[in-house]
Amino acid sequence: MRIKEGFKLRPLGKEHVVTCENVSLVNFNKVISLNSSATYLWESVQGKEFTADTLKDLLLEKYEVDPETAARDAAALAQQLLDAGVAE
Amino acid sequence: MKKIVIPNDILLGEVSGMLAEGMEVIIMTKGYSMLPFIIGDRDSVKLRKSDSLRIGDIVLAEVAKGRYVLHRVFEIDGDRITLMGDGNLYGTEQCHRSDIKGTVTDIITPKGRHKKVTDGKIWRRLRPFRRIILGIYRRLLKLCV
Repeated sequence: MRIKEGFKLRPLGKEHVVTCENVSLVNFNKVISLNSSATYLWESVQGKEFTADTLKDLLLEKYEVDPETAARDAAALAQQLLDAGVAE
Repeated sequence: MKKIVIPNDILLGEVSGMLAEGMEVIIMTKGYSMLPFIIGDRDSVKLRKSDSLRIGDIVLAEVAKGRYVLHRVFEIDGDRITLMGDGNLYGTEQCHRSDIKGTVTDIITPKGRHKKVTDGKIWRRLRPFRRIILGIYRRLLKLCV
């Protein structure tokens, strides 16, 4: 899977949000808010092909978590990105 | 859907930058200062940076450092602009033409309907009666919500 064109991660104060910027229109009523680990994963895989396993490895590289938790979180995020329509 | 609240100065600072780059931006409005035309926390607005400025335009302006309002242009005196919220009875704000960050092109209801933006000329004429009309309108609004 990969993140679709037109989505941009923006820091907004303490938050990180993903906005859709198609046809030079930004709609702040439809944003996706990312926590710090999701922000790290987004930045790591943007513009690249990735799988839930890629996300799991990235989590293991940066955080002290056991592989099962990392795999579960990675799979959940991958699914959420697909459900939200930002990845395909 | 979860609602995230971002401090006004941060969000609108970012929005101002996007408008200056020529982008169009949709944001949710807050407060009652633009009643009866814009209902805060319910209606959204679409903004665009415009080359021209006319009396009656609804604009996003930075009236003091980090303080933004979405109000109507009430008076233009060269580069000196006076703004007033439609839902306000007395208060006005002054700013420089360069503090106008964008102009409202559409008012969008929760159902996604785009309302036409009028210049509010009749409403400006009705200023002496605003207190009465707004009083009734706000009560009706409370009954409906």
